[in-house]
Amino acid sequence: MRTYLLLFSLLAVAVFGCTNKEAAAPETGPVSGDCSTKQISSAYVYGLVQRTCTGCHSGSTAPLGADFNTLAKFRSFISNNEAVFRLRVTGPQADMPQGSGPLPQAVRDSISCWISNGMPE
Amino acid sequence: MKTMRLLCVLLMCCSLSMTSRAQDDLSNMFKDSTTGHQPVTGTFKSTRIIMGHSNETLKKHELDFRVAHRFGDAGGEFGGGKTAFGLDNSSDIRIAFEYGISDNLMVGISRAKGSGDLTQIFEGLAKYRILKQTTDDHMPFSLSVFGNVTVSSMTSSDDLTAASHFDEFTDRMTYVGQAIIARKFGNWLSLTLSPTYVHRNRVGYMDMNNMFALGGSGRIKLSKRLAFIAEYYVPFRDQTSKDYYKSLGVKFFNPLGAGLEIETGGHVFSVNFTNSTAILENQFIPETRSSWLQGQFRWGFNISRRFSLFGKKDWKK
Repeated sequence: MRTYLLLFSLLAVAVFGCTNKEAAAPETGPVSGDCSTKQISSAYVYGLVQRTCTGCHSGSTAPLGADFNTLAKFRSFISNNEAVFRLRVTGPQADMPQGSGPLPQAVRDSISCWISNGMPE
Repeated sequence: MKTMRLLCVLLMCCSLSMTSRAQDDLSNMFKDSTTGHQPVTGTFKSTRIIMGHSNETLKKHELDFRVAHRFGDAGGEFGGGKTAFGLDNSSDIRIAFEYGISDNLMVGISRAKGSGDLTQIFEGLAKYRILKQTTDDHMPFSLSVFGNVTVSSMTSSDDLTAASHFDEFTDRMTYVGQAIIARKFGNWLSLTLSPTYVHRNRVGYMDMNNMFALGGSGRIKLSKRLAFIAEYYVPFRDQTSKDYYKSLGVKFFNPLGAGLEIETGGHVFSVNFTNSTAILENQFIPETRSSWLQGQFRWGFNISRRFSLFGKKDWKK
């Protein structure tokens, strides 16, 4: 009886927490040329990087030498490897973050505009 | 929503009544054990195979401390010598304590890094053994049911279009329900079939809240302490979802793992290779995006150390 009560309690907790939600459709995002009207801050972009990238891309063993430990290093990597970064992170064939990529389209567009605008503060 | 909850409660009641009948069968089986219906033991050496659960449960008062680890890609662009074939990266890590309440019921808690839309995951699980295969085929297979609930403790994303944007606490939760049907053939071969249901409360746009999958696995005994193990899952993702993600350049792959299981006294050590980056069923079934053929497989291991609590005393006494 005690076993059944335990099983029933576990199932009840599980069932009453059930919902069905789907994230909103990503916006198409600004097309090329619209970036001049967008004000994307470094804090926003680097906040994303810290949440999604620095788990792997940190320190001397970071894949491809892409060490994003600091905003300066992140900027430096993009300055030297913009094509690769756009291909892997913001482009239509983006596959980063590894295992859970690509980022939502609107986020990729924001990062892309931040780069196009010269990576402003 | 109310209708869904009512349906869930009805299903729950049905499953409990089925469990009661199955338990009666089990009792009858043991009643007859002296007349020849001996249960088959050691279908698998551990409660896990590689990625998923086996039909085995812990014994009463047994505590199992488990550590599972999946490294980075062994091959492909992110693997090779520069990352020591993935050893420099970790895609997922899970640490768990699991406990046998009775010989047929085990529960557990765990913390996993997570690899997918959600990270920083806490898990609660329960597994119940309903049927045991018998040596005389009076019961030709074993049946266990497994369920878990996970909660992500990650910071909510600012991006409203992300699966990791949480408006309320329940958005952080996912569930798995699984039936594990297993049979041991002679002393050297064990096979399982695992119909699985994954529910995620919040998913990305055009992803699926509810997903069914079918798992299959096998164990071939090579020596007294060594066995070859393999496991494969087929998630049933609908075509609309596949097409949408394909348009974004994302392709999903079926999780496949193979490895060796080594038993050393109280330890069971499994060394394996998988294409899935995640450890929990809640993630590796719906979210595996890495392919064996592109070198995106990784080395991993599962370590299990069991402790017997309360000595030989029964806590009822």
